[in-house]
Amino acid sequence: MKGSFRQSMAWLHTWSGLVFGWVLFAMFMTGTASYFRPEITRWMEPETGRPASYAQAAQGAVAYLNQTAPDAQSWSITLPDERQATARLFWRPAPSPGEEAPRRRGRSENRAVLDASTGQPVSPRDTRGGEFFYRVHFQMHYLPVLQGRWVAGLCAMFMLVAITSGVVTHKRIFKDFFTFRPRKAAQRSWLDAHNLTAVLALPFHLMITYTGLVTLMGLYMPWGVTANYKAPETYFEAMFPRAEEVERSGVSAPLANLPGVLETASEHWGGGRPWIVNVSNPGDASAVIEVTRHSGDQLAYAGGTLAFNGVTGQLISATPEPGPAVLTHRVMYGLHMGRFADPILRWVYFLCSLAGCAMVATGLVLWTVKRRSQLPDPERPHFGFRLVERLNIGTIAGVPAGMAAMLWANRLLPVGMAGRAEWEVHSFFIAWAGTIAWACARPARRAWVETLSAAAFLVAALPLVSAATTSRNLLGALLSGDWAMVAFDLTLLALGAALAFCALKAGAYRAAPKPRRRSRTVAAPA
Amino acid sequence: MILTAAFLLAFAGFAAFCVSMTKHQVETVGRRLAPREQTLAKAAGAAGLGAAFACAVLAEGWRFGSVLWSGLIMLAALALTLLLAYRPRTAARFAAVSAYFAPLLVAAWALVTFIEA
Repeated sequence: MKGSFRQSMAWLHTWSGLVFGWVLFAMFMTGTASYFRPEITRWMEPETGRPASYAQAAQGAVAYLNQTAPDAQSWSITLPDERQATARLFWRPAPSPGEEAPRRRGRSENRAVLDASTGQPVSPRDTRGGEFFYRVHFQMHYLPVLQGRWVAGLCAMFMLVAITSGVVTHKRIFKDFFTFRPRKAAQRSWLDAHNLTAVLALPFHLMITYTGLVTLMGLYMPWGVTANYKAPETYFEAMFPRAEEVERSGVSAPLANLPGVLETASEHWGGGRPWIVNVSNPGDASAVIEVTRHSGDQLAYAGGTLAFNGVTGQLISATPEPGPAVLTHRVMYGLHMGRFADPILRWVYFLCSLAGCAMVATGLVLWTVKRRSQLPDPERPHFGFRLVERLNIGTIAGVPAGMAAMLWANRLLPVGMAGRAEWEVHSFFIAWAGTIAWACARPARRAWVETLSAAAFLVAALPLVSAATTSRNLLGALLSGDWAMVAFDLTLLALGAALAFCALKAGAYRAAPKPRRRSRTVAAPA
Repeated sequence: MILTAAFLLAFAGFAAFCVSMTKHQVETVGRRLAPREQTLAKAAGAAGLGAAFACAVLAEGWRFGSVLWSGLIMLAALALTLLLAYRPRTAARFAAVSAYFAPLLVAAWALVTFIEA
């Protein structure tokens, strides 16, 4: 680590990038997919129908809850937006006398999934859906949640280190701004590709890494809160004020017309969309309806909550506007999540994020490309080199293969299988681990071609698998004008084609004469 | 429509910046530019990115528009660089066509918005 500032930064960049690179690649890939979390969930729940307006869904939800849980302590309705096909409900049953109030989260028998347009209960197959990719990208899996978040935070912190040191290391940011020389020697073109994906999307990479850390800053740096609030609960009460719980009066009164209340809420927000509806003491004179705004209405990722009288439908109170610090935090949160994005901006997010995946992947490959020519005997690299090379292959091809394997499992595992959702998740990790094992067992160049081809096949065949096993298929989606699902299948095909292109390139690279000649001249005198 | 214009303007703007750099001149326009022309190209580049920003803000408002602009120019630069690596002449021609059509798209958008309003 001696030498000039730039040299020490180069050292830092190389090693922080390498050590955390594999996990970062998986975080970037699954995070990229999370921009389409609702669409992935829809695809993975082929039993569900089409998105419908929140007002329609609210009507169905109230009808269902009035019948199923009329005297519940509270109802919670997560309304669909234009990307979701279901309303998700749960309710807290009234506690029997003497019993302590049950926990906030309802048990599974207190939950229901309703079709957004008909309001009829649907029972989608047991799956984590797009939620898995979202969760795994910041809290890992097979680890306790908080530990997983620490791992993700450590990786993100070193991502920030790698970005900053990378900017220092890169001497010619503006001179090489438009430079990509794919036909030059391997090291040159890989470096170009790494610089290209890093520099041209640098604002995105910086934003996404920094705001990613900010989303969990309360966990990583709790001292600001502990210094100002004696008990953590008082902090949460100040950040997320909740209406006070009111005892049931015992006087029954019909619930106000929910679609009407939602319309009032929307007007109050200047056309904003309601998202979560909480009804306490439904059917009672003391009923209160709380309506939380959709988190994708503004840049800030929290829209505030309005409380209405549950019988008259009058607005009672609104959460106060956040102060500047809280607003800054929420805007950063919102920028990371990108939920405010319309379809065009969402695709921009997705493509920039793919550039991030490419940046990490090219950086990992560059480590081996740079060192291969300096090896004493390129035919027999030392253990460290082999380890990095195999993990590179196993991860760069293995993560997309794993993600595709999860979607395969979603279609192929029996619907009634016990622990189905968990096995879908296992199949992600099994496929990833299998790819690493395959990469270790085969010669490196062959392994690149084989694993990338396998990943390409797994991704591109998904529309066919889906068409063969469920009613979700490209033709049906086209005919019924379900454009989200059309785009889903086409995107799978495009991503499969991109992976196949990488496999072809890896195959062609094997035939490049230069590295071979060098290895022969080294091997000849021995 | 106006967002397509924003992307085309960003593409043309970056292409102008690219042409202002000595190392890319021969491969794109076939000759070295005079110092005056280089300054002009740089100004055109800044104008292109600025106009793209205006389009994004017109389409989506200040908040979402500036986020969208940041994303669009990143993708425009990536697209230009990739095209430049394989088809430098095509990149230059496409940039010229973009610079020509983008104002037309903006005009058409303005007309449609005016009629609707």
